[in-house]
Amino acid sequence: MSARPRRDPHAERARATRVGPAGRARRILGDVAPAAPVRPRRDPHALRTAAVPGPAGRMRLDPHGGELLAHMPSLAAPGAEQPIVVERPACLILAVLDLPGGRLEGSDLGLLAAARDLADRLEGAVLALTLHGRPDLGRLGVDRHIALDLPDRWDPAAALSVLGTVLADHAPAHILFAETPLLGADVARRLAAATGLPAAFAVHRLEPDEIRARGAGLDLVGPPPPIMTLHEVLLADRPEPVLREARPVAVAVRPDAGLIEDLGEVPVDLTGAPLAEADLIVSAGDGVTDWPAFHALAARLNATVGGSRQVCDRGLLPRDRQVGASGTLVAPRAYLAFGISGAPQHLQGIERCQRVVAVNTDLHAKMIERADLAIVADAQAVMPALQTLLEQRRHG
Amino acid sequence: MAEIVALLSAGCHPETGRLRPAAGDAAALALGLALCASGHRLIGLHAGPADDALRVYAGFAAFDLVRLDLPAEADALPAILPWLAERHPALVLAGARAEQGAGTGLLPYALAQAMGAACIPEVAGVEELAERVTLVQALPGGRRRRLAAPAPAVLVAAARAAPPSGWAYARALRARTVPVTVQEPAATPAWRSEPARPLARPVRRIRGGAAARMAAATSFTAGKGQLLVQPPPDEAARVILAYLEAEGLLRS
Ligand SMILES: Cc1cc2nc3c(=O)[nH]c(=O)nc-3n(C[C@H](O)[C@H](O)[C@H](O)COP(=O)(O)OP(=O)(O)OC[C@H]3O[C@@H](n4cnc5c(N)ncnc54)[C@H](O)[C@@H]3O)c2cc1C
Repeated sequence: MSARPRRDPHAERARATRVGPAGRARRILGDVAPAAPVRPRRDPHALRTAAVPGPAGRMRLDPHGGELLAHMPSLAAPGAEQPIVVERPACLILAVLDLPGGRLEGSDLGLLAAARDLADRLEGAVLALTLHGRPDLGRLGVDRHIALDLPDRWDPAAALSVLGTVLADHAPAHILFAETPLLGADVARRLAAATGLPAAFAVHRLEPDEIRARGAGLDLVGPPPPIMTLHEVLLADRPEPVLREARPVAVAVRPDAGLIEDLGEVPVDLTGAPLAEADLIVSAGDGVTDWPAFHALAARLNATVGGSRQVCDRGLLPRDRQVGASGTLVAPRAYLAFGISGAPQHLQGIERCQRVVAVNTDLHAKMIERADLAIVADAQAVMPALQTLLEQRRHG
Repeated sequence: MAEIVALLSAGCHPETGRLRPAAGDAAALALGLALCASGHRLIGLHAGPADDALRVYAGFAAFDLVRLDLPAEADALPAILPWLAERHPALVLAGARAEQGAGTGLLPYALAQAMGAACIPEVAGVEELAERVTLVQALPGGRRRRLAAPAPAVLVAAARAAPPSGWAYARALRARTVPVTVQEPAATPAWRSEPARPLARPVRRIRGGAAARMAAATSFTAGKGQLLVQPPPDEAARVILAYLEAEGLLRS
């Protein structure tokens, strides 16, 4: 609060006005004593600098002079954030995460968001099951976490036996999977077939009293069954980053010998694979002149080859390699762009790429702006350097 | 030589609604026809009321066709199971999802469970069929994996696999099916079904009120990463490789 007195111009004017000889109101200028301050002036900037970070990381104003802080202990000590604990949940929602390659992917996060939502509305708790890794799920809306390190082989029987144990131990009300081929979609159907529990697949609307699952040209509508897989439209959401307990829960696994034997990956040349399916794309634009180096690099990385419209128009790459609005819309885990300027039509094509690496000589190219890793350099120098480094790694 | 059964359901063109070979089942048939070429016997099995649904598949090649006579809405599994138990096929091939009805994709799994056999989804090709079946499975991103399982097994064709090449109308017309009368299964309490409407685009919900929505709508959401200006080529290469490695994308 500043000590500067507040002026009241109306009162000042009233005091300076006298009735003159002709009976008209006359204003006397100067030498008028200032009136007493009406109320102290508030300094909005001082209020703002005193803001404290709230639980969600946002700055919170406290116009009541510490009153708010006294009532909300979590605001008073922003350093020591207390996780939310659900001690006696009304039910458990089991979310079975895919974790392909031990990494949390978008579908996993979407699944956790949907599970959290359902648990909140049923006053339950979210129990997450990760079969191949132990990611930290504390800020992903998880109350309990069963983490296992099953071998990386594809072994649906092992997943099924773990699920059987978890179901017997915890009796979750609902078991949620993502409708992802070979991962959630597969395990959910195995579980439904093995247990005979009612199931709904490709659920695109999830409410505590009614769900909608996509069938062939129709929607199946009914109350939520125990087993559900979630359609892609529900998986775009992300959980609120509030700290929760994610209490580790132990489970005793009895490895089950399955019928299926994994004989390992078959080496396939992916350079010419369909662009829409690819999970690693190296793409060339007009800035690429050393085509042998580009193709050698793609072959060494075993990455799918793509290109901008410019290079396809000039016949430097076949038309089916064009990425963009009038080519293929791609969604790889990583997109390496060499000498691509990043025209809007091209950027539309890579909207759903998770990671973009750009190499371009122009610092102001749109592609450099879009990229997660942007390198301002000559593509003709970087491509052979990458090749050399990859060869060194292979031999040494 | 072994017997292979391909489960063929009535397909439905998504735009016109006309009868056609279901895409998934046609892909399964392609797997079966490839095995047929190496001397195995292929039977196409359909459970439904009409021969036409089965005959559209006969246009691809000549093979045996069996139809279990069932009303269109009836659950096929209780009819198929006893028939399969009698025939003991070495392989059962199926598509990923039916093009009519619930289309849950659960049938192959339920079938395998009842037969005590392995169920393998996303099969791109069968390499060998004897006591064991060796096959190649399609992984996301165009990769492939080799698997082995004891016969009998239930294989689900990969969603992106191609149908058999060549379709002849005359062959489809000429085809004869063997109808089999089966006991009609008891109706199970079904879900309420409604016509499917187009789905909304996947959206990420913005929590935290109007301020958060405003911030999300106005902030620039593109890449917010690292920028290297004129690094030596080796340095650039090292950074890119480290990045790909962190993503688990280095395969060689
Ligand atoms: C209707 C319509 C549809 C279109 N659809 C598509 C589409 O689907 N896909 C598509 O890609 N385009 C599409 N385009 C074309 C698009 O507008 C651009 O023209 C095109 O993407 C540009 O390609 P580019 O980035 O390879 O070439 P340029 O724009 O010429 O960019 C070349 C870039 O390379 C950089 N460079 C130069 N030399 C080097 C070097 N030595 N090392 C590194 N970098 C270097 C330059 O700085 C520049 O940024 C469409 C256009 C229209 C009108």
